[in-house]
Amino acid sequence: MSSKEQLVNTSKDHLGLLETKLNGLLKPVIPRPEFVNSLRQRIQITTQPAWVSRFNNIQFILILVAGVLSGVIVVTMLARLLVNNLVSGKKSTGLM
Amino acid sequence: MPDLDESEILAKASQGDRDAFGFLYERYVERIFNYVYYRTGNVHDAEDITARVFYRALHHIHNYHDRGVPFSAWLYRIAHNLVANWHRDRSRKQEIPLTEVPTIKYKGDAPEQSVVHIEERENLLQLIQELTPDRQNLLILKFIEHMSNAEIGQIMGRSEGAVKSLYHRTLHSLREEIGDELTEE
Repeated sequence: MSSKEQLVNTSKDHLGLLETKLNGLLKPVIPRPEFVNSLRQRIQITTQPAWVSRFNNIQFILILVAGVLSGVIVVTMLARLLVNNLVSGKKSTGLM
Repeated sequence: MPDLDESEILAKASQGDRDAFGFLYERYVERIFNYVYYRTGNVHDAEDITARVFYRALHHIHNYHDRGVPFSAWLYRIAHNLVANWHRDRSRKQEIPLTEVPTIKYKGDAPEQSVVHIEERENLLQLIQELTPDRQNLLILKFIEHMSNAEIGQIMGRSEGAVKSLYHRTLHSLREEIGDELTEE
Protein backbone atom coordinates (compact mmCIF):
# COMPACT_ATOMS: atom_id res chain seq x y z
CA MET A 1 0.00 0.00 0.00
CA SER A 2 1.38 3.40 -0.99
CA SER A 3 1.81 6.18 1.57
CA LYS A 4 -0.93 8.19 -0.17
CA GLU A 5 -3.40 5.28 0.15
CA GLN A 6 -2.43 4.85 3.80
CA LEU A 7 -3.09 8.55 4.42
CA VAL A 8 -6.52 8.34 2.74
CA ASN A 9 -7.41 5.22 4.72
CA THR A 10 -6.31 6.81 8.01
CA SER A 11 -8.39 9.88 7.23
CA LYS A 12 -11.43 7.70 6.43
CA ASP A 13 -10.92 5.76 9.67
CA HIS A 14 -10.81 9.01 11.64
CA LEU A 15 -13.98 10.32 9.99
CA GLY A 16 -15.72 6.99 10.59
CA LEU A 17 -14.70 7.20 14.23
CA LEU A 18 -15.98 10.77 14.44
CA GLU A 19 -19.31 9.70 12.90
CA THR A 20 -19.60 6.93 15.50
CA LYS A 21 -18.90 9.47 18.26
CA LEU A 22 -21.49 11.88 16.91
CA ASN A 23 -24.00 9.08 16.60
CA GLY A 24 -23.40 8.09 20.22
CA LEU A 25 -23.48 11.61 21.61
CA LEU A 26 -26.20 13.33 19.63
CA LYS A 27 -29.30 11.55 20.88
CA PRO A 28 -32.90 12.67 20.38
CA VAL A 29 -34.39 14.27 23.48
CA ILE A 30 -37.96 14.23 24.73
CA PRO A 31 -39.61 17.56 25.59
CA ARG A 32 -41.30 17.79 28.98
CA PRO A 33 -44.87 16.42 28.75
CA GLU A 34 -46.13 19.46 30.75
CA PHE A 35 -44.66 21.76 28.11
CA VAL A 36 -46.11 19.76 25.19
CA ASN A 37 -49.57 19.60 26.81
CA SER A 38 -49.73 23.25 27.83
CA LEU A 39 -48.58 24.40 24.38
CA ARG A 40 -51.19 22.17 22.74
CA GLN A 41 -53.89 23.74 24.92
CA ARG A 42 -52.67 27.29 24.18
CA ILE A 43 -52.60 26.60 20.46
CA GLN A 44 -56.05 25.04 20.43
CA ILE A 45 -57.50 27.99 22.37
CA THR A 46 -55.92 30.41 19.89
CA THR A 47 -57.11 28.45 16.86
CA GLN A 48 -60.57 29.28 15.62
CA PRO A 49 -62.68 26.30 14.74
CA ALA A 50 -63.58 26.01 11.03
CA TRP A 51 -67.20 27.08 11.54
CA VAL A 52 -66.09 30.34 13.22
CA SER A 53 -64.08 31.46 10.19
CA ARG A 54 -66.95 30.44 7.88
CA PHE A 55 -69.36 32.35 10.14
CA ASN A 56 -67.05 35.38 10.04
CA ASN A 57 -67.07 35.31 6.23
CA ILE A 58 -70.89 35.11 6.05
CA GLN A 59 -71.19 37.81 8.70
CA PHE A 60 -68.86 40.09 6.74
CA ILE A 61 -70.86 39.64 3.51
CA LEU A 62 -74.16 40.29 5.33
CA ILE A 63 -72.82 43.46 6.95
CA LEU A 64 -71.47 44.63 3.59
CA VAL A 65 -74.82 44.03 1.82
CA ALA A 66 -76.74 45.71 4.66
CA GLY A 67 -74.36 48.70 4.52
CA VAL A 68 -74.77 49.12 0.75
CA LEU A 69 -78.59 48.84 1.00
CA SER A 70 -78.73 51.38 3.85
CA GLY A 71 -76.56 53.75 1.79
CA VAL A 72 -78.86 53.43 -1.24
CA ILE A 73 -81.96 54.08 0.91
CA VAL A 74 -80.39 57.17 2.54
CA VAL A 75 -79.28 58.58 -0.85
CA THR A 76 -82.76 57.93 -2.36
CA MET A 77 -84.50 59.64 0.58
CA LEU A 78 -82.19 62.65 0.37
CA ALA A 79 -82.74 62.89 -3.38
CA ARG A 80 -86.51 62.71 -2.97
CA LEU A 81 -86.40 65.36 -0.23
CA LEU A 82 -84.32 67.62 -2.45
CA VAL A 83 -86.65 67.15 -5.43
CA ASN A 84 -89.73 67.80 -3.25
CA ASN A 85 -88.17 70.98 -1.87
CA LEU A 86 -87.32 72.19 -5.36
CA VAL A 87 -90.83 71.41 -6.67
CA SER A 88 -92.56 73.07 -3.72
CA GLY A 89 -90.21 76.06 -4.05
CA LYS A 90 -91.11 76.46 -7.73
CA LYS A 91 -94.86 76.10 -6.96
CA SER A 92 -94.72 78.77 -4.26
CA THR A 93 -92.77 81.13 -6.58
CA GLY A 94 -95.34 80.47 -9.37
CA LEU A 95 -98.28 81.27 -7.09
CA MET A 96 -96.87 84.60 -6.18
CA MET B 1 -57.73 12.42 11.11
CA PRO B 2 -54.79 9.93 11.05
CA ASP B 3 -56.36 8.29 7.96
CA LEU B 4 -56.13 11.53 6.00
CA ASP B 5 -53.25 12.45 3.74
CA GLU B 6 -51.01 15.23 5.09
CA SER B 7 -52.08 17.58 2.28
CA GLU B 8 -55.74 17.10 3.31
CA ILE B 9 -54.87 17.76 6.96
CA LEU B 10 -52.96 20.87 5.89
CA ALA B 11 -55.93 22.10 3.85
CA LYS B 12 -58.20 21.68 6.87
CA ALA B 13 -55.67 23.36 9.18
CA SER B 14 -55.35 26.37 6.87
CA GLN B 15 -59.16 26.78 7.01
CA GLY B 16 -58.90 27.08 10.79
CA ASP B 17 -59.66 23.49 11.77
CA ARG B 18 -58.23 23.21 15.26
CA ASP B 19 -58.12 19.40 15.27
CA ALA B 20 -56.14 19.37 12.03
CA PHE B 21 -53.55 21.81 13.36
CA GLY B 22 -53.44 19.88 16.62
CA PHE B 23 -52.67 16.74 14.65
CA LEU B 24 -49.79 18.47 12.82
CA TYR B 25 -48.55 19.80 16.15
CA GLU B 26 -48.50 16.30 17.65
CA ARG B 27 -46.63 15.01 14.63
CA TYR B 28 -43.87 17.63 14.61
CA VAL B 29 -43.48 19.10 18.10
CA GLU B 30 -40.81 16.64 19.20
CA ARG B 31 -38.74 17.04 16.03
CA ILE B 32 -38.85 20.84 16.18
CA PHE B 33 -38.02 20.80 19.89
CA ASN B 34 -35.00 18.55 19.24
CA TYR B 35 -33.75 20.82 16.48
CA VAL B 36 -34.11 23.96 18.60
CA TYR B 37 -32.68 22.29 21.70
CA TYR B 38 -29.48 21.30 19.94
CA ARG B 39 -29.19 24.74 18.30
CA THR B 40 -29.65 26.68 21.56
CA GLY B 41 -28.16 24.25 24.08
CA ASN B 42 -30.72 24.87 26.81
CA VAL B 43 -34.18 23.63 27.65
CA HIS B 44 -35.83 26.95 28.55
CA ASP B 45 -35.00 28.69 25.30
CA ALA B 46 -35.79 25.52 23.35
CA GLU B 47 -39.29 25.48 24.86
CA ASP B 48 -39.79 29.19 24.27
CA ILE B 49 -38.65 29.05 20.64
CA THR B 50 -40.59 25.83 19.93
CA ALA B 51 -43.76 27.54 21.17
CA ARG B 52 -43.06 30.53 18.92
CA VAL B 53 -42.48 28.24 15.92
CA PHE B 54 -45.95 26.73 16.31
CA TYR B 55 -47.63 30.09 16.95
CA ARG B 56 -46.02 31.48 13.81
CA ALA B 57 -47.01 28.37 11.84
CA LEU B 58 -50.56 28.68 13.16
CA HIS B 59 -50.87 32.30 12.06
CA HIS B 60 -49.24 31.79 8.66
CA ILE B 61 -50.42 28.32 7.70
CA HIS B 62 -52.67 29.82 5.01
CA ASN B 63 -49.46 31.07 3.33
CA TYR B 64 -48.02 27.57 3.10
CA HIS B 65 -48.30 26.11 -0.40
CA ASP B 66 -46.92 22.68 -1.18
CA ARG B 67 -44.53 23.40 -4.05
CA GLY B 68 -42.39 20.34 -3.58
CA VAL B 69 -41.27 21.55 -0.15
CA PRO B 70 -42.76 19.39 2.61
CA PHE B 71 -44.53 20.95 5.58
CA SER B 72 -41.74 19.73 7.86
CA ALA B 73 -39.22 21.74 5.81
CA TRP B 74 -41.41 24.83 6.18
CA LEU B 75 -41.52 24.34 9.97
CA TYR B 76 -37.74 23.82 10.15
CA ARG B 77 -37.22 27.05 8.23
CA ILE B 78 -39.39 28.94 10.72
CA ALA B 79 -37.39 27.34 13.54
CA HIS B 80 -34.10 28.20 11.79
CA ASN B 81 -35.11 31.88 11.47
CA LEU B 82 -36.21 32.12 15.10
CA VAL B 83 -33.01 30.45 16.31
CA ALA B 84 -31.00 32.90 14.18
CA ASN B 85 -32.86 35.82 15.81
CA TRP B 86 -32.23 34.27 19.22
CA HIS B 87 -28.48 34.04 18.54
CA ARG B 88 -28.44 37.64 17.32
CA ASP B 89 -30.31 38.94 20.38
CA ARG B 90 -28.22 36.80 22.68
CA SER B 91 -24.97 38.22 21.33
CA ARG B 92 -26.23 41.67 22.34
CA LYS B 93 -27.18 40.52 25.81
CA GLN B 94 -25.30 38.64 28.53
CA GLU B 95 -23.50 35.40 27.77
CA ILE B 96 -25.09 32.20 29.01
CA PRO B 97 -23.01 29.01 29.09
CA LEU B 98 -23.63 27.05 25.90
CA THR B 99 -23.24 23.65 27.41
CA GLU B 100 -25.69 23.82 30.26
CA VAL B 101 -26.17 20.31 31.60
CA PRO B 102 -29.64 19.50 30.31
CA THR B 103 -32.37 18.38 32.68
CA ILE B 104 -33.99 16.47 29.91
CA LYS B 105 -34.87 12.90 29.04
CA TYR B 106 -33.34 11.14 26.07
CA LYS B 107 -35.29 9.07 23.63
CA GLY B 108 -33.90 5.54 23.64
CA ASP B 109 -30.42 5.08 25.03
CA ALA B 110 -29.02 8.13 26.75
CA PRO B 111 -25.42 9.14 26.04
CA GLU B 112 -22.91 7.70 28.48
CA GLN B 113 -23.12 9.58 31.78
CA SER B 114 -19.65 8.90 33.19
CA VAL B 115 -17.57 11.98 34.03
CA VAL B 116 -15.32 11.37 31.02
CA HIS B 117 -18.27 11.05 28.68
CA ILE B 118 -20.08 14.11 30.04
CA GLU B 119 -16.92 16.15 29.55
CA GLU B 120 -16.39 14.72 26.07
CA ARG B 121 -20.02 15.35 25.16
CA GLU B 122 -19.85 18.94 26.37
CA ASN B 123 -16.65 19.55 24.42
CA LEU B 124 -18.15 18.12 21.27
CA LEU B 125 -21.39 20.10 21.71
CA GLN B 126 -19.32 23.22 22.25
CA LEU B 127 -17.43 22.55 19.03
CA ILE B 128 -20.66 21.89 17.14
CA GLN B 129 -22.17 25.12 18.42
CA GLU B 130 -19.13 27.01 17.17
CA LEU B 131 -19.77 25.74 13.63
CA THR B 132 -21.66 27.88 11.12
CA PRO B 133 -25.48 27.63 11.38
CA ASP B 134 -25.67 25.62 8.14
CA ARG B 135 -23.21 23.04 9.44
CA GLN B 136 -25.02 22.81 12.77
CA ASN B 137 -28.33 22.29 10.97
CA LEU B 138 -26.78 19.57 8.88
CA LEU B 139 -25.40 17.61 11.83
CA ILE B 140 -28.64 17.91 13.81
CA LEU B 141 -30.80 16.78 10.90
CA LYS B 142 -28.44 13.92 10.09
CA PHE B 143 -27.72 12.56 13.55
CA ILE B 144 -30.83 13.50 15.52
CA GLU B 145 -33.46 13.23 12.81
CA HIS B 146 -31.61 10.60 10.75
CA MET B 147 -32.60 12.35 7.53
CA SER B 148 -31.16 11.55 4.13
CA ASN B 149 -29.08 14.10 2.20
CA ALA B 150 -32.04 14.68 -0.14
CA GLU B 151 -34.41 15.47 2.77
CA ILE B 152 -31.81 17.76 4.36
CA GLY B 153 -31.39 19.46 0.99
CA GLN B 154 -35.12 20.25 0.87
CA ILE B 155 -34.96 21.90 4.27
CA MET B 156 -31.73 23.78 3.63
CA GLY B 157 -32.58 24.72 0.06
CA ARG B 158 -29.50 22.94 -1.36
CA SER B 159 -28.96 20.08 -3.77
CA GLU B 160 -28.26 16.57 -2.49
CA GLY B 161 -24.68 16.82 -3.78
CA ALA B 162 -24.13 20.15 -2.03
CA VAL B 163 -25.35 18.63 1.25
CA LYS B 164 -23.00 15.66 0.84
CA SER B 165 -20.07 17.96 0.17
CA LEU B 166 -20.95 20.21 3.12
CA TYR B 167 -21.19 17.14 5.35
CA HIS B 168 -17.69 16.01 4.48
CA ARG B 169 -16.26 19.49 4.94
CA THR B 170 -18.00 19.68 8.34
CA LEU B 171 -16.58 16.34 9.48
CA HIS B 172 -13.07 17.34 8.37
CA SER B 173 -13.37 20.66 10.15
CA LEU B 174 -14.58 18.98 13.35
CA ARG B 175 -11.83 16.41 13.06
CA GLU B 176 -9.23 19.17 12.89
CA GLU B 177 -10.75 20.96 15.87
CA ILE B 178 -10.84 17.81 17.97
CA GLY B 179 -7.29 16.88 17.01
CA ASP B 180 -5.77 14.08 19.04
CA GLU B 181 -8.65 13.96 21.51
CA LEU B 182 -10.48 11.60 19.19
CA THR B 183 -9.50 8.18 20.36
CA GLU B 184 -11.00 4.80 19.92
CA GLU B 185 -12.28 3.15 23.09
